[in-house]
Amino acid sequence: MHNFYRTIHKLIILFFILSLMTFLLGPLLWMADIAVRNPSSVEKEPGKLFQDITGIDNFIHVLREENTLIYFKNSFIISVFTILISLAISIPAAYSLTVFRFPLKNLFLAIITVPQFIPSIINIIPVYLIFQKAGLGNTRLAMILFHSSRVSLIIWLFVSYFESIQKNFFEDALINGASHLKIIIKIIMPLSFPALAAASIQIFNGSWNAFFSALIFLLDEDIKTVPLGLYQFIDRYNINYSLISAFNILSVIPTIVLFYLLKLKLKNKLENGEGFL
Amino acid sequence: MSLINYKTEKFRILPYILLLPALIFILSFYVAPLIYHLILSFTDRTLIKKEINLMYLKNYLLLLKDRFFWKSLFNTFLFITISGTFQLALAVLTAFFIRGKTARIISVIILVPWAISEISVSIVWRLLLTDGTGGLNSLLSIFKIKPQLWLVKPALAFLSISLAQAWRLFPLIYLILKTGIYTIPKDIIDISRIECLNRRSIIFKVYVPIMRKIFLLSVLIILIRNFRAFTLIFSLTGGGPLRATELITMFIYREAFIYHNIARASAASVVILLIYSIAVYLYLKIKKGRAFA
Repeated sequence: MHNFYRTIHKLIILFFILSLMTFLLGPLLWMADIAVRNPSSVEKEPGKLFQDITGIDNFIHVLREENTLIYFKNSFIISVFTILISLAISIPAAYSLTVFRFPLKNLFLAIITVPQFIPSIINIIPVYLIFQKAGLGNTRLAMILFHSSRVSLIIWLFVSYFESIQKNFFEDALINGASHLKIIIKIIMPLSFPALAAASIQIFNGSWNAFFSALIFLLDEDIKTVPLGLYQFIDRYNINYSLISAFNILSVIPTIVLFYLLKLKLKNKLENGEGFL
Repeated sequence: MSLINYKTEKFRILPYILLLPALIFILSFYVAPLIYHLILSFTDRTLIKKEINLMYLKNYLLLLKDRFFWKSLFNTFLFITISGTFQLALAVLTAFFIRGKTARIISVIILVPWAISEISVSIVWRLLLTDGTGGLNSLLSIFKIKPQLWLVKPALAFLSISLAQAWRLFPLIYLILKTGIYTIPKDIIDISRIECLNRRSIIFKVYVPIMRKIFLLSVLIILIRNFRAFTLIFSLTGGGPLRATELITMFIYREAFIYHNIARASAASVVILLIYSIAVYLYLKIKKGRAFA
């Protein structure tokens, strides 16, 4: 009898694993199937998986579209500058919060904590009005500045990492007369490679995937980013799902590659769920 | 690490100088905009008109009479309830009942819906839900069920966006729960094994009490995350059919950038920020200030 229950238990778990895998991977496989098939065959017989395969033709068609490469270029420019500015402002802030004790520190902590919770739909409206007035409307710089301001989590990622560094490293260096700048560059940065990588990838993901801010800030075709291009693609090719899928797969390659490189490098460190809010 | 306390003049302003760039960004992109919002909500500012008149509370009164505002607020709470239930249920089942090698494989795959952009997720789901060539209808046709209009009928559209959002967000909840399980000391489990507790009692008598706080945080994260849902639903249904899937974020977007009625959007933002901040307050309180990784 005991064995019977165990078999039932195992079967239920197996059934759950299979359903979960279908739910997780089914949608992705469906998209992959559409992306490699001939558009007309998808339209006629969508259920016949992997029939009439055209290989990478759809992908080449997408890349030959006049604007696709421009979208990728813009996304890269915005992401790279956002990473640079975010790191430049969050590393000194994190150093200050880790190393020093000073009046009003808790107030500053609160000011840095709260922004991560504010939905961008709320702060984007005033920021948009201010940018319009400052002549920054409809520029890539608007995107870069807006996304560089999302440093709450990045600062804390660095703080928790700096706290794990032995404090006598700092003290010895200070006693020997090193300046704080020197400590940051010569001691902290070389030790903080994992934190730098994790932070860069988080910032990259945020700005590479940003849709809503791009929808508001970027109006001209030659400064639009990949998510915005994808969104317009749905309208332009509303029946040709093969091209839409192909573009979609191209758009996620950078994030997926970076995510798994980081995952390999850092093992479980990224799985600290709080970093994902 | 204990903090270094400098008494010399030279070091007194250094920590502030190091914080300054970050503070400038946060003040000008978060603090100032919120104050500006509050001011605008008492005026009649539109996107085009430049001169501003004071309207006192008129925007708020109009907003409270606007049935689309109430509808979108109701939709948001319904969305949080339905999609949040899916998310929590899937995450709990996955985190607690799958272990060993399968769990390791799943925690690799599960990152995909979370890593890709919301627009990409919306395309994945559009391919499944569209009525002509959609994957879901193809699947149903195997079981001889006739095709459904997943994104056209109001009730079905609502279910569809909830499912799509669950697909994107349950990995996050899964990771949070899994991190919680890792933090449970191994000896507690060993002791309860020795005490001959069976697996179900280990789960309910050992895991659940320890995990209560993590559960509570997961629920709050679900609230916070789903409350600000926008892109996925905007791209899938655009708030339609007949505003059946219009969430509060979309209501604000429509007021501000389609009707150009900035003042109304500001009033709505202030109202929902008050509601939203309750969840954030509870979250911060439970985390006792350590709101970060």
